[in-house]
Amino acid sequence: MNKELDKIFEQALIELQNGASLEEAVLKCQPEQEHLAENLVLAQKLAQLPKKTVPAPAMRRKYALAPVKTAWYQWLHFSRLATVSMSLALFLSAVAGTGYAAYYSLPGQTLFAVKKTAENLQLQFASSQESKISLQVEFSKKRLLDAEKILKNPDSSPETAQAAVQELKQQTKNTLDAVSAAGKNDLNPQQTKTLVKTLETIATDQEKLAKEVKADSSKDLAANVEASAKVINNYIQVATNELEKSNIKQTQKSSLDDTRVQNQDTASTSPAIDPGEKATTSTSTLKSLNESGSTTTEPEITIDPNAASSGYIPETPEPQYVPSSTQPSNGN
Amino acid sequence: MNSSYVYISDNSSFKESLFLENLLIKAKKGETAAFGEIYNLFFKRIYTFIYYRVSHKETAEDMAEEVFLKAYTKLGSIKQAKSLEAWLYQIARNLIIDHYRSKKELVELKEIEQTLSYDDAVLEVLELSHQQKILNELLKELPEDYRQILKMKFFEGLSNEIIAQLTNKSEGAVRVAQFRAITKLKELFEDYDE
Repeated sequence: MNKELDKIFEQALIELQNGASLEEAVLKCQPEQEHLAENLVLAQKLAQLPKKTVPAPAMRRKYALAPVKTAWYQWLHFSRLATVSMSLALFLSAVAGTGYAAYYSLPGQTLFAVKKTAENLQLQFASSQESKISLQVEFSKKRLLDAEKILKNPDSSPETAQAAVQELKQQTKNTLDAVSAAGKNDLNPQQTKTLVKTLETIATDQEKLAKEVKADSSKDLAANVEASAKVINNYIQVATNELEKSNIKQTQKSSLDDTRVQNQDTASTSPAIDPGEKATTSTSTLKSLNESGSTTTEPEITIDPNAASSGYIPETPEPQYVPSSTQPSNGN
Repeated sequence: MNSSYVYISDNSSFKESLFLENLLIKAKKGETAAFGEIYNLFFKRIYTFIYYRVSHKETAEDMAEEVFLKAYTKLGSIKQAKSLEAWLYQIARNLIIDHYRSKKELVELKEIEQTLSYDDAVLEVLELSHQQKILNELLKELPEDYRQILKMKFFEGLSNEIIAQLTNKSEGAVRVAQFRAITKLKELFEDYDE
């Protein structure tokens, strides 16, 4: 079959539809008119077959009841995925923005509570006592930096400065509590040494801050900060003593255990550590601190009463502040 | 020539294309009146197409309305005005398939597709002359795809573009099939005469 026949036939059909007569349409089929004429006649006969009458429809225009579709509406309609993605992106941006703002917030600001919550969550998810201590120490350093920023800023309000000092005190107490608890859980000597050094650094920095604030006579908080630093230093001293004692006992216990193993002795006959000894030592340490004198009466920091049973907390609810001249040596 | 046998010449096709393009742009902008013009242009063709396949006036009306409602809500998806009519027929075709599928819970898709060829629903058989009856009978001897294309082309006056859309073929394939179908029908007719 000639490949062009179908095209010629189609052209002739179009002529017929446009009103040309059969003869005129056939003339369009040259040079295949003889071959295609019968096809055209047959096509015309097919088209002339009587069709069923189609009843006239009622045109109710239901589309008019649909909401008006503007281009913008259609874009939204056909871009649901884009809409959802955009909403999600906005939400994540808001969350990220809040997180960012919270991270750099300072005590006394609204988002500081978010920052504290995030830190508490970090502590909750800390896998070990050691990592908890690391976090607490890190938070202590942050509070120190926060306090520095606020106290050295002449535009800071007294309320904000008070909040910064309070947060600093509280965080330091939390850190020392964590350190003390860890001391009872047998930290190894190397860890103890590192911890003591870190705590000493924190105490030094706090003292330094207190002196700087004190130098600025316009600040009413100077005395408060100085007192805070002293209290913190006292706590650090107590805690470091506890750590050291704990490690000494640990070493003694290890030696005794080794001896027991060597002698094939039973552990139940002679406990390696007298539980009362630790409490006595702790009590005497803090008592010595109390006896060393006090120049301030601020009772803001208290030691966790639950810890009293653990042996290192004195019976008195809180330590007294000592003047810097009589303060026990903390390595500074 | 039968009045339902509507073809569009190249020239009028061009004019209609421009006109449609304009209507489509306005309708996409939300001008209901522009879509109303599109509705006026195509509603009866779509209704007739459906009526031949469901043979029920109210059902065909409802389905034709549904076609234009769908088209109205999804107008943004149509890119070119020249594809608009074929797109409307495609929506109608899908609705017809859904219509038959809802009637039978389990039905072969092939069976539904064949329903679209509607057999004798389009012809007024009682009014056929002797020669026309013979022609109609010989038509049944053609292969299914040939018969379907000839009916769409010469009974309903659908363009090659729309037939191509409805049969999932190219326009060239439809043109060739149409020519071969007519040639085959002619041979059958000659054999019958002999």
